[in-house]
Amino acid sequence: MSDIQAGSGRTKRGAEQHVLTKKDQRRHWFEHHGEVAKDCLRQWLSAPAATLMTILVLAVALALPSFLFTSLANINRLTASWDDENKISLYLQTNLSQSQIENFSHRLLLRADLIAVDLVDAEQGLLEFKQFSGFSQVLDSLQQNPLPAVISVLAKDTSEQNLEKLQQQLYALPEVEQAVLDLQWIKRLNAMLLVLQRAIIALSLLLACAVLLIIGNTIRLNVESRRDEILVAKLMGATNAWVRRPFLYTGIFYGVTAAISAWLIIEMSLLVMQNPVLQLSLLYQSNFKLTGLGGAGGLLLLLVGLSLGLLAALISVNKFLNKLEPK
Amino acid sequence: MIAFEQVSKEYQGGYQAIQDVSFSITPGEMVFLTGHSGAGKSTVLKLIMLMERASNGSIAIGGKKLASMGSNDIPFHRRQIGVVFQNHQLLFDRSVFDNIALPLRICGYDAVDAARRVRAALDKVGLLNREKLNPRVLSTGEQQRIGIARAIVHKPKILLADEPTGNLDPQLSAEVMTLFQQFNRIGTTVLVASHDLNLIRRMNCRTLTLQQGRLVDDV
Repeated sequence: MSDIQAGSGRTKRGAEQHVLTKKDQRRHWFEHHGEVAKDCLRQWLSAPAATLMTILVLAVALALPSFLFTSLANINRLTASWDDENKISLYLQTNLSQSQIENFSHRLLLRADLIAVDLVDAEQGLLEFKQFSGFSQVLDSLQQNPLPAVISVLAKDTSEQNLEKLQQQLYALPEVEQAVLDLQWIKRLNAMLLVLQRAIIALSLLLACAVLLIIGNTIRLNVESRRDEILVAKLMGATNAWVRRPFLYTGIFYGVTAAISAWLIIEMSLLVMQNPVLQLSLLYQSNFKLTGLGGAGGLLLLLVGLSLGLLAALISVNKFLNKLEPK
Repeated sequence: MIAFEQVSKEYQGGYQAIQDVSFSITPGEMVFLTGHSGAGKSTVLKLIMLMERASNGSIAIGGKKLASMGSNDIPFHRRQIGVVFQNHQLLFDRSVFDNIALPLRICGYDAVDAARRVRAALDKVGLLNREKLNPRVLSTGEQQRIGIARAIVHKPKILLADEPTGNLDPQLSAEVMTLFQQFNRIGTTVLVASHDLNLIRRMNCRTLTLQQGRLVDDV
Protein backbone atom coordinates (compact mmCIF):
# COMPACT_ATOMS: atom_id res chain seq x y z
CA MET A 1 0.00 0.00 0.00
CA SER A 2 2.78 2.39 0.89
CA ASP A 3 4.20 1.66 -2.56
CA ILE A 4 1.00 2.70 -4.18
CA GLN A 5 0.80 5.94 -2.22
CA ALA A 6 4.36 6.79 -3.07
CA GLY A 7 3.44 6.09 -6.69
CA SER A 8 0.42 8.34 -6.66
CA GLY A 9 2.52 11.15 -5.19
CA ARG A 10 4.88 10.91 -8.13
CA THR A 11 2.10 10.69 -10.65
CA LYS A 12 0.47 13.84 -9.40
CA ARG A 13 3.63 15.66 -10.22
CA GLY A 14 3.55 13.97 -13.59
CA ALA A 15 0.06 15.19 -14.25
CA GLU A 16 1.21 18.79 -14.03
CA GLN A 17 3.63 18.22 -16.90
CA HIS A 18 1.00 16.71 -19.14
CA VAL A 19 0.83 19.58 -21.64
CA LEU A 20 3.10 19.15 -24.66
CA THR A 21 4.53 22.22 -26.33
CA LYS A 22 4.85 22.69 -30.09
CA LYS A 23 8.56 22.09 -29.74
CA ASP A 24 7.91 18.79 -27.97
CA GLN A 25 5.57 17.77 -30.72
CA ARG A 26 8.12 18.59 -33.39
CA ARG A 27 10.82 16.67 -31.55
CA HIS A 28 8.43 13.74 -31.14
CA TRP A 29 7.67 13.84 -34.84
CA PHE A 30 11.35 13.57 -35.75
CA GLU A 31 12.00 10.96 -33.09
CA HIS A 32 9.13 8.85 -34.27
CA HIS A 33 10.40 9.00 -37.84
CA GLY A 34 13.79 7.80 -36.69
CA GLU A 35 12.29 5.07 -34.55
CA VAL A 36 10.04 3.88 -37.34
CA ALA A 37 12.86 3.81 -39.87
CA LYS A 38 15.00 1.74 -37.51
CA ASP A 39 12.07 -0.52 -36.82
CA CYS A 40 11.50 -1.14 -40.53
CA LEU A 41 15.14 -2.00 -41.03
CA ARG A 42 14.98 -4.45 -38.13
CA GLN A 43 11.94 -6.09 -39.68
CA TRP A 44 13.61 -6.58 -43.05
CA LEU A 45 16.71 -7.96 -41.45
CA SER A 46 14.61 -10.40 -39.51
CA ALA A 47 13.36 -11.93 -42.78
CA PRO A 48 16.17 -11.19 -45.24
CA ALA A 49 15.34 -13.93 -47.76
CA ALA A 50 11.70 -12.93 -48.14
CA THR A 51 12.61 -9.25 -48.34
CA LEU A 52 15.28 -9.91 -50.93
CA MET A 53 12.93 -11.98 -53.09
CA THR A 54 10.30 -9.25 -53.06
CA ILE A 55 12.90 -6.63 -53.92
CA LEU A 56 14.25 -8.71 -56.80
CA VAL A 57 10.80 -9.23 -58.29
CA LEU A 58 10.19 -5.49 -58.04
CA ALA A 59 13.62 -4.74 -59.48
CA VAL A 60 12.95 -6.88 -62.56
CA ALA A 61 9.58 -5.22 -63.02
CA LEU A 62 11.23 -1.80 -62.85
CA ALA A 63 14.33 -2.76 -64.87
CA LEU A 64 12.46 -4.10 -67.89
CA PRO A 65 10.77 -0.87 -68.98
CA SER A 66 13.79 1.22 -67.98
CA PHE A 67 16.02 -1.00 -70.06
CA LEU A 68 13.70 -0.71 -73.05
CA PHE A 69 13.53 3.06 -72.66
CA THR A 70 17.31 3.26 -72.47
CA SER A 71 17.64 1.14 -75.60
CA LEU A 72 15.10 3.31 -77.36
CA ALA A 73 16.97 6.44 -76.31
CA ASN A 74 20.15 4.93 -77.72
CA ILE A 75 18.48 4.11 -81.03
CA ASN A 76 17.00 7.59 -81.19
CA ARG A 77 20.40 9.09 -80.58
CA LEU A 78 21.81 6.96 -83.34
CA THR A 79 19.20 7.96 -85.89
CA ALA A 80 19.37 11.59 -84.85
CA SER A 81 22.93 11.70 -86.16
CA TRP A 82 21.52 10.89 -89.56
CA ASP A 83 20.23 14.35 -90.06
CA ASP A 84 20.44 14.31 -93.86
CA GLU A 85 16.82 13.73 -94.47
CA ASN A 86 17.10 15.88 -97.53
CA LYS A 87 19.85 13.73 -99.00
CA ILE A 88 19.46 12.12 -102.39
CA SER A 89 22.05 9.59 -103.53
CA LEU A 90 22.66 9.48 -107.28
CA TYR A 91 24.18 6.24 -108.52
CA LEU A 92 25.77 7.08 -111.88
CA GLN A 93 25.94 4.93 -115.01
CA THR A 94 29.05 2.74 -114.86
CA ASN A 95 30.03 3.50 -118.45
CA LEU A 96 30.77 7.16 -117.77
CA SER A 97 34.35 8.32 -117.92
CA GLN A 98 36.02 10.15 -115.05
CA SER A 99 35.86 13.50 -116.83
CA GLN A 100 32.18 13.00 -117.69
CA ILE A 101 31.47 12.31 -114.06
CA GLU A 102 33.31 15.39 -112.89
CA ASN A 103 31.59 17.44 -115.51
CA PHE A 104 28.23 16.19 -114.35
CA SER A 105 29.08 16.89 -110.75
CA HIS A 106 30.05 20.47 -111.66
CA ARG A 107 26.82 20.99 -113.49
CA LEU A 108 24.92 19.83 -110.39
CA LEU A 109 26.87 22.30 -108.31
CA LEU A 110 25.46 25.11 -110.40
CA ARG A 111 21.87 24.16 -109.71
CA ALA A 112 20.10 26.55 -107.37
CA ASP A 113 17.92 23.90 -105.73
CA LEU A 114 20.89 21.97 -104.32
CA ILE A 115 22.99 23.16 -101.39
CA ALA A 116 25.74 20.54 -101.43
CA VAL A 117 27.17 18.06 -103.88
CA ASP A 118 29.55 15.35 -102.75
CA LEU A 119 31.21 13.08 -105.27
CA VAL A 120 32.43 9.67 -104.23
CA ASP A 121 34.04 8.21 -107.33
CA ALA A 122 34.17 4.51 -108.05
CA GLU A 123 37.78 4.07 -106.86
CA GLN A 124 37.16 5.81 -103.61
CA GLY A 125 33.97 3.87 -103.07
CA LEU A 126 35.79 0.61 -103.63
CA LEU A 127 38.49 1.60 -101.16
CA GLU A 128 35.99 2.40 -98.46
CA PHE A 129 34.01 -0.71 -99.16
CA LYS A 130 37.16 -2.83 -98.86
CA GLN A 131 38.12 -1.24 -95.64
CA PHE A 132 34.84 -1.61 -93.83
CA SER A 133 33.08 -4.56 -95.32
CA GLY A 134 35.68 -7.24 -94.75
CA PHE A 135 35.34 -8.38 -98.36
CA SER A 136 38.72 -6.98 -99.40
CA GLN A 137 40.05 -10.31 -100.69
CA VAL A 138 36.96 -11.02 -102.74
CA LEU A 139 37.08 -7.52 -104.17
CA ASP A 140 40.80 -7.86 -104.98
CA SER A 141 40.03 -10.90 -107.07
CA LEU A 142 37.66 -8.92 -109.25
CA GLN A 143 39.18 -7.57 -112.42
CA GLN A 144 36.88 -4.62 -112.71
CA ASN A 145 35.54 -2.25 -110.14
CA PRO A 146 31.86 -3.21 -109.84
CA LEU A 147 30.88 -0.09 -107.95
CA PRO A 148 29.38 2.95 -109.62
CA ALA A 149 30.41 6.47 -108.78
CA VAL A 150 27.98 8.06 -106.35
CA ILE A 151 27.05 11.68 -105.96
CA SER A 152 25.22 12.70 -102.78
CA VAL A 153 23.30 15.90 -103.08
CA LEU A 154 21.49 17.85 -100.39
CA ALA A 155 18.28 19.56 -101.47
CA LYS A 156 17.62 23.16 -100.48
CA ASP A 157 13.89 22.75 -100.03
CA THR A 158 13.37 19.87 -97.61
CA SER A 159 9.64 19.47 -97.99
CA GLU A 160 8.58 15.97 -98.87
CA GLN A 161 6.85 17.02 -102.09
CA ASN A 162 9.84 18.89 -103.36
CA LEU A 163 12.23 16.10 -102.47
CA GLU A 164 10.17 13.61 -104.40
CA LYS A 165 9.91 15.98 -107.37
CA LEU A 166 13.66 16.59 -107.28
CA GLN A 167 14.34 12.88 -107.08
CA GLN A 168 12.21 12.36 -110.23
CA GLN A 169 14.06 15.17 -112.05
CA LEU A 170 17.49 13.84 -111.15
CA TYR A 171 16.48 10.30 -112.02
CA ALA A 172 15.49 11.54 -115.46
CA LEU A 173 19.04 12.79 -116.17
CA PRO A 174 20.89 10.47 -118.57
CA GLU A 175 23.98 10.14 -116.38
CA VAL A 176 21.95 8.84 -113.46
CA GLU A 177 21.26 5.16 -113.16
CA GLN A 178 19.41 5.32 -109.86
CA ALA A 179 18.32 8.20 -107.58
CA VAL A 180 17.56 7.18 -104.02
CA LEU A 181 15.83 9.39 -101.56
CA ASP A 182 17.24 8.50 -98.11
CA LEU A 183 14.21 10.09 -96.52
CA GLN A 184 12.00 7.12 -97.12
CA TRP A 185 13.62 4.59 -94.88
CA ILE A 186 14.41 7.11 -92.16
CA LYS A 187 10.73 7.96 -92.12
CA ARG A 188 9.86 4.30 -91.89
CA LEU A 189 12.37 3.81 -89.12
CA ASN A 190 11.03 6.76 -87.18
CA ALA A 191 7.49 5.47 -87.55
CA MET A 192 8.61 2.09 -86.28
CA LEU A 193 10.38 3.70 -83.35
CA LEU A 194 7.20 5.58 -82.50
CA VAL A 195 5.22 2.33 -82.43
CA LEU A 196 7.94 0.77 -80.33
CA GLN A 197 7.86 3.72 -77.94
CA ARG A 198 4.11 3.41 -77.47
CA ALA A 199 4.46 -0.32 -76.85
CA ILE A 200 7.13 0.35 -74.23
CA ILE A 201 4.93 2.96 -72.53
CA ALA A 202 2.04 0.49 -72.39
CA LEU A 203 4.33 -2.18 -71.01
CA SER A 204 5.72 0.27 -68.45
CA LEU A 205 2.25 1.14 -67.22
CA LEU A 206 1.43 -2.55 -66.84
CA LEU A 207 4.62 -3.20 -64.94
CA ALA A 208 4.05 -0.12 -62.76
CA CYS A 209 0.68 -1.63 -61.86
CA ALA A 210 2.45 -4.89 -61.05
CA VAL A 211 4.86 -3.03 -58.76
CA LEU A 212 1.92 -1.29 -57.06
CA LEU A 213 0.16 -4.59 -56.55
CA ILE A 214 3.23 -6.39 -55.24
CA ILE A 215 4.16 -3.65 -52.77
CA GLY A 216 0.50 -3.09 -51.87
CA ASN A 217 -0.01 -6.75 -51.12
CA THR A 218 3.20 -6.99 -49.09
CA ILE A 219 2.10 -4.01 -47.01
CA ARG A 220 -1.41 -5.41 -46.63
CA LEU A 221 0.03 -8.60 -45.13
CA ASN A 222 2.24 -6.43 -42.95
CA VAL A 223 -0.78 -4.46 -41.74
CA GLU A 224 -2.75 -7.64 -41.06
CA SER A 225 0.08 -9.06 -38.98
CA ARG A 226 0.14 -5.91 -36.85
CA ARG A 227 -3.62 -5.62 -36.65
CA ASP A 228 -3.84 -5.86 -32.83
CA GLU A 229 -1.17 -3.26 -32.36
CA ILE A 230 -2.94 -0.85 -34.70
CA LEU A 231 -6.32 -1.37 -33.03
CA VAL A 232 -4.88 -0.79 -29.57
CA ALA A 233 -2.85 2.22 -30.70
CA LYS A 234 -5.90 3.76 -32.37
CA LEU A 235 -7.91 3.38 -29.16
CA MET A 236 -5.15 5.15 -27.26
CA GLY A 237 -5.38 8.13 -29.54
CA ALA A 238 -2.85 7.38 -32.25
CA THR A 239 -3.42 9.56 -35.28
CA ASN A 240 -3.79 7.92 -38.67
CA ALA A 241 -0.49 9.50 -39.70
CA TRP A 242 1.22 7.84 -36.74
CA VAL A 243 -0.23 4.45 -37.64
CA ARG A 244 0.58 4.89 -41.32
CA ARG A 245 4.18 5.99 -40.82
CA PRO A 246 5.92 2.60 -40.46
CA PHE A 247 4.07 1.21 -43.45
CA LEU A 248 4.92 4.19 -45.60
CA TYR A 249 8.55 3.68 -44.68
CA THR A 250 8.27 0.03 -45.69
CA GLY A 251 6.67 0.98 -49.01
CA ILE A 252 9.32 3.58 -49.74
CA PHE A 253 12.04 1.15 -48.77
CA TYR A 254 10.75 -1.45 -51.20
CA GLY A 255 10.33 1.11 -53.98
CA VAL A 256 13.74 2.71 -53.52
CA THR A 257 15.77 -0.48 -53.09
CA ALA A 258 13.97 -2.00 -56.07
CA ALA A 259 14.82 1.09 -58.13
CA ILE A 260 18.48 0.91 -57.10
CA SER A 261 18.60 -2.79 -57.93
CA ALA A 262 16.92 -2.10 -61.28
CA TRP A 263 19.51 0.58 -61.98
CA LEU A 264 22.30 -1.92 -61.25
CA ILE A 265 20.70 -4.51 -63.52
CA ILE A 266 20.48 -2.02 -66.38
CA GLU A 267 23.99 -0.67 -65.97
CA MET A 268 25.40 -4.19 -65.87
CA SER A 269 23.49 -5.27 -68.98
CA LEU A 270 24.76 -2.21 -70.81
CA LEU A 271 28.28 -2.92 -69.66
CA VAL A 272 28.01 -6.40 -71.12
CA MET A 273 26.72 -4.95 -74.40
CA GLN A 274 29.20 -2.07 -74.56
CA ASN A 275 32.04 -3.87 -76.34
CA PRO A 276 30.02 -5.65 -79.03
CA VAL A 277 28.21 -2.40 -79.80
CA LEU A 278 31.50 -0.56 -80.05
CA GLN A 279 32.83 -3.11 -82.54
CA LEU A 280 29.64 -2.93 -84.54
CA SER A 281 29.69 0.85 -84.68
CA LEU A 282 33.35 0.83 -85.73
CA LEU A 283 32.36 -1.34 -88.67
CA TYR A 284 29.90 1.35 -89.61
CA GLN A 285 32.53 4.09 -89.27
CA SER A 286 30.65 5.50 -86.39
CA ASN A 287 31.87 6.50 -82.98
CA PHE A 288 28.52 5.61 -81.47
CA LYS A 289 28.65 4.55 -77.85
CA LEU A 290 25.93 3.11 -75.65
CA THR A 291 24.79 5.42 -72.89
CA GLY A 292 23.15 4.21 -69.69
CA LEU A 293 20.33 5.78 -67.74
CA GLY A 294 22.56 8.70 -66.79
CA GLY A 295 22.00 10.96 -63.79
CA ALA A 296 18.56 12.21 -64.81
CA GLY A 297 17.36 8.76 -65.83
CA GLY A 298 18.63 7.21 -62.62
CA LEU A 299 16.96 9.91 -60.57
CA LEU A 300 13.71 9.43 -62.47
CA LEU A 301 13.84 5.69 -61.85
CA LEU A 302 14.43 6.34 -58.16
CA LEU A 303 11.51 8.78 -58.01
CA VAL A 304 9.23 6.35 -59.83
CA GLY A 305 10.20 3.57 -57.40
CA LEU A 306 9.71 5.85 -54.42
CA SER A 307 6.33 7.13 -55.56
CA LEU A 308 5.04 3.67 -56.45
CA GLY A 309 6.12 2.34 -53.04
CA LEU A 310 4.57 5.29 -51.22
CA LEU A 311 1.33 5.11 -53.21
CA ALA A 312 0.97 1.36 -52.73
CA ALA A 313 1.53 1.69 -48.97
CA LEU A 314 -0.91 4.60 -48.71
CA ILE A 315 -3.64 2.68 -50.52
CA SER A 316 -3.12 -0.45 -48.42
CA VAL A 317 -3.03 1.23 -45.01
CA ASN A 318 -5.82 3.69 -45.76
CA LYS A 319 -8.08 0.84 -46.80
CA PHE A 320 -7.52 -0.70 -43.38
CA LEU A 321 -7.80 2.58 -41.46
CA ASN A 322 -11.03 3.53 -43.19
CA LYS A 323 -12.63 0.41 -41.80
CA LEU A 324 -11.81 1.63 -38.28
CA GLU A 325 -13.58 4.98 -38.65
CA PRO A 326 -16.61 5.18 -36.36
CA LYS A 327 -19.98 4.89 -38.06
CA MET B 1 -17.73 15.16 -17.67
CA ILE B 2 -19.84 12.59 -19.53
CA ALA B 3 -23.30 13.63 -20.63
CA PHE B 4 -25.69 11.44 -22.64
CA GLU B 5 -28.89 13.05 -23.88
CA GLN B 6 -31.52 10.74 -25.34
CA VAL B 7 -28.88 8.72 -27.08
CA SER B 8 -29.79 5.81 -29.36
CA LYS B 9 -27.57 3.54 -31.34
CA GLU B 10 -28.88 1.36 -34.09
CA TYR B 11 -26.38 -0.91 -35.82
CA GLN B 12 -26.54 -1.82 -39.46
CA GLY B 13 -29.19 -4.44 -39.94
CA GLY B 14 -31.56 -2.69 -37.54
CA TYR B 15 -30.23 -4.00 -34.22
CA GLN B 16 -31.08 -1.43 -31.54
CA ALA B 17 -28.19 -1.53 -29.06
CA ILE B 18 -29.28 1.34 -26.80
CA GLN B 19 -32.35 3.47 -26.91
CA ASP B 20 -33.10 6.88 -25.47
CA VAL B 21 -30.36 6.76 -22.85
CA SER B 22 -29.75 9.90 -20.79
CA PHE B 23 -27.38 10.33 -17.88
CA SER B 24 -24.72 12.69 -16.68
CA ILE B 25 -21.52 11.98 -14.80
CA THR B 26 -19.78 14.86 -13.08
CA PRO B 27 -15.97 15.21 -12.99
CA GLY B 28 -14.33 13.06 -10.34
CA GLU B 29 -17.30 10.73 -10.00
CA MET B 30 -17.00 6.95 -9.96
CA VAL B 31 -19.95 5.19 -11.59
CA PHE B 32 -20.81 1.59 -12.40
CA LEU B 33 -22.69 0.58 -15.50
CA THR B 34 -24.45 -2.72 -15.19
CA GLY B 35 -26.91 -4.95 -16.97
CA HIS B 36 -27.03 -8.36 -18.61
CA SER B 37 -24.76 -9.06 -21.51
CA GLY B 38 -26.29 -7.49 -24.57
CA ALA B 39 -27.95 -4.78 -22.51
CA GLY B 40 -25.79 -2.14 -24.20
CA LYS B 41 -22.95 -1.57 -21.71
CA SER B 42 -20.18 -1.95 -24.28
CA THR B 43 -22.07 0.25 -26.72
CA VAL B 44 -22.12 3.07 -24.17
CA LEU B 45 -18.36 2.77 -23.72
CA LYS B 46 -17.78 2.59 -27.48
CA LEU B 47 -19.85 5.72 -27.97
CA ILE B 48 -17.78 7.57 -25.36
CA MET B 49 -14.57 6.41 -27.07
CA LEU B 50 -15.94 7.43 -30.45
CA MET B 51 -15.48 3.89 -31.72
CA GLU B 52 -19.08 4.24 -32.74
CA ARG B 53 -21.22 7.27 -33.43
CA ALA B 54 -24.68 7.70 -31.96
CA SER B 55 -27.61 7.31 -34.33
CA ASN B 56 -29.66 9.80 -32.33
CA GLY B 57 -29.27 12.14 -29.39
CA SER B 58 -26.13 13.91 -28.29
CA ILE B 59 -23.10 12.96 -26.23
CA ALA B 60 -20.76 15.49 -24.67
CA ILE B 61 -17.43 14.59 -23.08
CA GLY B 62 -15.67 17.28 -21.05
CA GLY B 63 -18.12 19.79 -22.47
CA LYS B 64 -17.39 18.93 -26.11
CA LYS B 65 -20.05 17.46 -28.33
CA LEU B 66 -18.85 14.26 -29.99
CA ALA B 67 -21.07 14.77 -33.01
CA SER B 68 -19.04 17.83 -33.98
CA MET B 69 -15.73 15.92 -33.87
CA GLY B 70 -14.26 14.92 -37.21
CA SER B 71 -11.83 12.11 -37.90
CA ASN B 72 -8.90 14.38 -37.09
CA ASP B 73 -10.24 15.22 -33.62
CA ILE B 74 -10.82 11.60 -32.58
CA PRO B 75 -7.20 10.79 -31.60
CA PHE B 76 -7.01 13.82 -29.32
CA HIS B 77 -10.38 12.99 -27.83
CA ARG B 78 -9.21 9.46 -27.06
CA ARG B 79 -5.99 10.65 -25.43
CA GLN B 80 -7.95 12.02 -22.49
CA ILE B 81 -9.56 8.64 -21.89
CA GLY B 82 -7.89 5.51 -20.51
CA VAL B 83 -9.52 2.18 -21.26
CA VAL B 84 -9.25 -1.16 -19.49
CA PHE B 85 -10.50 -4.07 -21.56
CA GLN B 86 -11.88 -7.35 -20.35
CA ASN B 87 -9.30 -9.31 -22.32
CA HIS B 88 -6.66 -6.67 -21.43
CA GLN B 89 -5.52 -6.37 -25.11
CA LEU B 90 -1.83 -6.45 -24.25
CA LEU B 91 0.64 -6.88 -27.11
CA PHE B 92 2.67 -10.04 -26.75
CA ASP B 93 5.40 -8.97 -29.15
CA ARG B 94 6.93 -6.58 -26.58
CA SER B 95 7.80 -6.29 -22.93
CA VAL B 96 5.53 -5.09 -20.14
CA PHE B 97 7.45 -1.81 -20.16
CA ASP B 98 6.87 -1.23 -23.88
CA ASN B 99 3.20 -2.12 -23.55
CA ILE B 100 2.68 0.52 -20.91
CA ALA B 101 4.84 3.05 -22.75
CA LEU B 102 2.69 2.80 -25.90
CA PRO B 103 0.18 5.54 -24.98
CA LEU B 104 3.08 7.83 -24.05
CA ARG B 105 4.85 7.17 -27.34
CA ILE B 106 1.62 7.94 -29.15
CA CYS B 107 1.19 11.20 -27.25
CA GLY B 108 4.83 12.12 -27.85
CA TYR B 109 6.51 12.09 -24.44
CA ASP B 110 10.26 12.07 -24.46
CA ALA B 111 11.93 8.79 -23.58
CA VAL B 112 13.23 9.78 -20.15
CA ASP B 113 9.94 11.28 -19.01
CA ALA B 114 8.07 8.30 -20.44
CA ALA B 115 10.26 5.78 -18.59
CA ARG B 116 9.66 7.63 -15.32
CA ARG B 117 5.91 7.60 -15.86
CA VAL B 118 5.84 3.94 -16.88
CA ARG B 119 7.66 2.98 -13.68
CA ALA B 120 5.32 5.14 -11.62
CA ALA B 121 2.33 3.38 -13.18
CA LEU B 122 3.88 -0.06 -12.65
CA ASP B 123 4.64 0.87 -9.06
CA LYS B 124 1.05 1.85 -8.59
CA VAL B 125 -0.29 -1.54 -9.69
CA GLY B 126 2.45 -3.25 -7.68
CA LEU B 127 4.30 -4.86 -10.58
CA LEU B 128 7.45 -2.77 -10.75
CA ASN B 129 9.67 -5.84 -10.91
CA ARG B 130 7.88 -7.19 -14.02
CA GLU B 131 8.79 -4.46 -16.49
CA LYS B 132 11.24 -6.51 -18.56
CA LEU B 133 9.01 -9.59 -18.87
CA ASN B 134 6.77 -10.45 -21.76
CA PRO B 135 3.13 -10.08 -20.62
CA ARG B 136 2.51 -13.61 -21.94
CA VAL B 137 4.31 -15.12 -18.95
CA LEU B 138 2.27 -13.20 -16.36
CA SER B 139 -0.82 -14.50 -14.59
CA THR B 140 -4.28 -13.31 -15.66
CA GLY B 141 -4.53 -11.03 -12.65
CA GLU B 142 -1.14 -9.51 -13.37
CA GLN B 143 -2.00 -9.05 -17.06
CA GLN B 144 -5.14 -7.20 -16.06
CA ARG B 145 -3.14 -4.95 -13.77
CA ILE B 146 -0.67 -4.24 -16.56
CA GLY B 147 -3.68 -3.31 -18.69
CA ILE B 148 -4.75 -0.90 -15.97
CA ALA B 149 -1.26 0.59 -15.70
CA ARG B 150 -1.34 1.17 -19.46
CA ALA B 151 -4.75 2.83 -19.21
CA ILE B 152 -3.67 5.33 -16.56
CA VAL B 153 -0.01 5.94 -17.46
CA HIS B 154 -0.81 9.13 -19.42
CA LYS B 155 -3.07 10.54 -16.67
CA PRO B 156 -6.36 10.43 -18.53
CA LYS B 157 -9.23 12.55 -17.25
CA ILE B 158 -11.60 9.65 -17.72
CA LEU B 159 -11.01 5.97 -17.02
CA LEU B 160 -13.31 3.49 -18.73
CA ALA B 161 -13.30 -0.21 -17.88
CA ASP B 162 -15.23 -2.87 -19.76
CA GLU B 163 -15.78 -5.93 -17.52
CA PRO B 164 -12.34 -5.48 -15.94
CA THR B 165 -12.91 -8.31 -13.47
CA GLY B 166 -14.53 -10.72 -15.91
CA ASN B 167 -11.72 -13.25 -15.77
CA LEU B 168 -10.61 -12.71 -12.19
CA ASP B 169 -11.37 -14.46 -8.89
CA PRO B 170 -13.13 -12.41 -6.17
CA GLN B 171 -9.94 -11.45 -4.38
CA LEU B 172 -8.22 -10.16 -7.53
CA SER B 173 -11.44 -8.39 -8.52
CA ALA B 174 -11.47 -6.58 -5.22
CA GLU B 175 -7.84 -5.54 -5.74
CA VAL B 176 -8.64 -4.15 -9.18
CA MET B 177 -11.59 -2.22 -7.80
CA THR B 178 -9.40 -0.78 -5.07
CA LEU B 179 -7.05 0.46 -7.76
CA PHE B 180 -9.91 2.16 -9.58
CA GLN B 181 -10.99 3.80 -6.35
CA GLN B 182 -7.49 5.16 -5.84
CA PHE B 183 -7.44 6.74 -9.27
CA ASN B 184 -10.86 8.15 -8.60
CA ARG B 185 -9.58 9.72 -5.40
CA ILE B 186 -6.95 11.71 -7.28
CA GLY B 187 -9.64 13.17 -9.50
CA THR B 188 -10.08 10.76 -12.38
CA THR B 189 -13.64 10.20 -13.53
CA VAL B 190 -14.19 6.43 -13.56
CA LEU B 191 -16.88 4.50 -15.41
CA VAL B 192 -16.85 0.73 -14.96
CA ALA B 193 -19.08 -1.58 -16.97
CA SER B 194 -19.61 -4.81 -15.06
CA HIS B 195 -22.26 -7.43 -14.47
CA ASP B 196 -20.70 -8.52 -11.15
CA LEU B 197 -23.52 -7.27 -8.92
CA ASN B 198 -21.98 -8.48 -5.67
CA LEU B 199 -18.85 -6.51 -6.32
CA ILE B 200 -20.79 -3.41 -7.30
CA ARG B 201 -22.91 -3.59 -4.15
CA ARG B 202 -19.76 -3.75 -2.03
CA MET B 203 -18.28 -0.72 -3.72
CA ASN B 204 -21.23 1.45 -2.79
CA CYS B 205 -21.06 3.74 -5.86
CA ARG B 206 -23.63 5.24 -8.15
CA THR B 207 -24.87 2.53 -10.51
CA LEU B 208 -26.54 2.88 -13.89
CA THR B 209 -28.52 -0.17 -14.93
CA LEU B 210 -29.25 -0.94 -18.55
CA GLN B 211 -31.91 -3.36 -19.68
CA GLN B 212 -32.38 -4.19 -23.34
CA GLY B 213 -30.79 -0.96 -24.35
CA ARG B 214 -32.75 1.27 -22.00
CA LEU B 215 -31.59 2.91 -18.81
CA VAL B 216 -33.88 1.49 -16.13
CA ASP B 217 -32.13 2.47 -12.92
CA ASP B 218 -29.78 5.19 -11.70
CA VAL B 219 -28.96 4.95 -8.01
